[in-house]
Amino acid sequence: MANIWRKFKTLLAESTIEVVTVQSINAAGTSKCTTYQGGVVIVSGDSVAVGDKAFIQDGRIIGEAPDLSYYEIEV
Amino acid sequence: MSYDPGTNILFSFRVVYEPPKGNAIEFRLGDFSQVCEMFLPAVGEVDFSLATLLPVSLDFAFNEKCYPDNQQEQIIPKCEEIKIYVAPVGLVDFDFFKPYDWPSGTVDFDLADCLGDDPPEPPPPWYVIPANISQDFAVGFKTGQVADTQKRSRWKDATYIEPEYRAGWGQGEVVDRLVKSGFIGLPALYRENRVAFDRLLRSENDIFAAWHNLEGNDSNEKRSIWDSTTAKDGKLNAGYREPGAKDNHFVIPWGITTKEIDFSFVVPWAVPPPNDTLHTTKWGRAWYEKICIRDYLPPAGTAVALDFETQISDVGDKDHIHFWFDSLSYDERCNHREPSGWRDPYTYRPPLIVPQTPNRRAYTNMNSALLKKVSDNMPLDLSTFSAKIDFGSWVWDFSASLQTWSSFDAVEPDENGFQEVEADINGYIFRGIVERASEQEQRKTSFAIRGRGPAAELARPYAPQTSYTEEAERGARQIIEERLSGTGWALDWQITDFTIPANVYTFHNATPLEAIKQITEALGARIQAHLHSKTLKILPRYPIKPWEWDTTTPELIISESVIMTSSRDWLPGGNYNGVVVSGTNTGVLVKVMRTGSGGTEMAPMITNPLIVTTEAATQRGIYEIAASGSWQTYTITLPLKTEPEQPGLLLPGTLLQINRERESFNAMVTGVKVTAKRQNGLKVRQIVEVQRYRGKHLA
Repeated sequence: MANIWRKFKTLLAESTIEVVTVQSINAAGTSKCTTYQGGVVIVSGDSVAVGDKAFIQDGRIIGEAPDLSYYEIEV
Repeated sequence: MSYDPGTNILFSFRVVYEPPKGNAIEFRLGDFSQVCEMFLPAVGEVDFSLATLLPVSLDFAFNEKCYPDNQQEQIIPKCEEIKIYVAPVGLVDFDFFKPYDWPSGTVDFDLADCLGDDPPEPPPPWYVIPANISQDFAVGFKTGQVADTQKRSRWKDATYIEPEYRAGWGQGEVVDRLVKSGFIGLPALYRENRVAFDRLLRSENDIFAAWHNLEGNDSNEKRSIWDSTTAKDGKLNAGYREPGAKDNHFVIPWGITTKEIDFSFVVPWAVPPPNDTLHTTKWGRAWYEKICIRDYLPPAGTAVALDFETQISDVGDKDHIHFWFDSLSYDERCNHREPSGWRDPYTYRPPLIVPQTPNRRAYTNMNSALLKKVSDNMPLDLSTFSAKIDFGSWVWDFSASLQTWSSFDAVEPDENGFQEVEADINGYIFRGIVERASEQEQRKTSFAIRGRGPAAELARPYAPQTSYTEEAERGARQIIEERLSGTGWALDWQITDFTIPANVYTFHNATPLEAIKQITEALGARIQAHLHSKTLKILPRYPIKPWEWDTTTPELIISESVIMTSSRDWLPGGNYNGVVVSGTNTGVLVKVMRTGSGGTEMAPMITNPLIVTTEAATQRGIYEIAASGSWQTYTITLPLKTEPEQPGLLLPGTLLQINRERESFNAMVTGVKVTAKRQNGLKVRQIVEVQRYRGKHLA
């Protein structure tokens, strides 16, 4: 009776968009970014200046992200 | 005040002039409140401009009544005080612009000069004292009262009145003898007309009131009904004439009493003692909160201040302090219970009684399963039926098998669209639209229909797809209500609302349901269509945070004996304790963490354009953290009972407590499937999928 579609979806890797902070821009057209989870990732694309926020998806920068208000909420 | 014309007086009659009396125009020159001043034009002339041709002849009379009208004692001015009109150059010039119809050939203006000679003696009276007036009728002129000399008429000063203008005392016409006052010689009365008291009864018989003999009646319809009425029906007589004997048993008992009233007996509380005004009961919500609620207010630094009045050498073993924490003792009013219940219903929370399925050795179910076509209530011969919904689906899916061609033909979709059917399974009404119908002919033909609930009309392929951008700041609920407006569907909103800025909510080629899902999926909420009514519920995926389920009072306790079958499965999860939820171009970026965890294990970041407020981010964060944990899925088969018997239909989102011999836990219903099958009787079941949270419980 399980929802087959839901089970199937869990097998697929989700392509999520993430907001990161550009830490440095490398020579090869890649950027070193810090994620909000605390990790560091190198993605392709150098369109966003150092210190700015960027949207990344599937390992590449897809655009500059606005600097949104940050909150921490415990639930 | 006086009228002082410059040169001319212009009388302009724009309409036909109607003289108040006779043919006269009365000129009053002067002020009423003062002694009259006659009109004295300084220069020029008196100019009468009669614009309208008068229909009647016109007489002029210069009124000399110059003394005030409002005084009883009339003041007649002396002649010296009257200023006589003096024509400036000897003439008064009347310039008639229209032809003037002379009344009798001459217009005689008599401007008397009161400084001249005395007026002539009045002519002798024209009348003659009638000779035949007897002495008894003489008018009493002889002995009148002494006249007041101040009021007497002054003949000398009066102006002689021409007969033409004087009052009608002049030579009158001969009075007709027939119309003169008839005191002297009344004509003889005619016998027929005079009042004849002595003969009234026997004369003029024809004009008597018709009491004696009605005669000459035209017809029966017009005659008086008094002389010939029909006989009365004796049966209709009112029976009041001879009443029956009174029933003595009903005599009022205190009509005759032999017992005398004891006047010495005094009601003792006729004068009550004065109220004790000093005693007042202070109660009510404000006093309750003042007396019965104690909040500990720590001093600065969140410390607990211990103020010991007794030396340590005087207590215990003189070296240690032992604390005993008694439960706080409150005022009697705080927990006072009266015979009728609690004193204050607003502070009293009745203990929650959790319904529980009965624990029996055997259960008897009187099942019913009916299916009909909605449009004409045609019953369909149902052989099996099933309907299901779960967390992942928003509308009920149903399938049924029918037994006859007639039923199948009645509900099979055709070029006019689908048919709507309604199933009644143990009192629960399911509605659905038949989207597919199949039949298979073998040894015995079988017919199957499938479909969804009526909410399917909001989704593909039935609903139109539109594109839209909300260009104003609106609430999420408002936006969803707008998507449902005009569809006939109502909204049951049970999640936290939040405001979406302008130009954030947008969709392209989406049905109303897809447009709504865009919001609910951003929040981790779910849509659930009602069983049969046109209502869409927007519910949180986890109304209670899963890590709090074990300490939450469940909605129903499932006892072991009611469980027919049970199976369980394990779903591993990531056991995250935090997630970053972010808007895209606008909104907020929120790190949502389980309380006390510090967000040490973060789930992948969630970005959604509709994460615009912390309310939206919190709801989505709870869903992400909860869903990431490990879960245990139980599939249990239960009977479906008609309310209020338990278990009733267990909808997704219901928190259950499963009480079994080897374990007892709280879990939430995430899906339900109702089945009805006719095979050796009718069997109705509900197969419930419950999920038990097996994520990490923080210490």
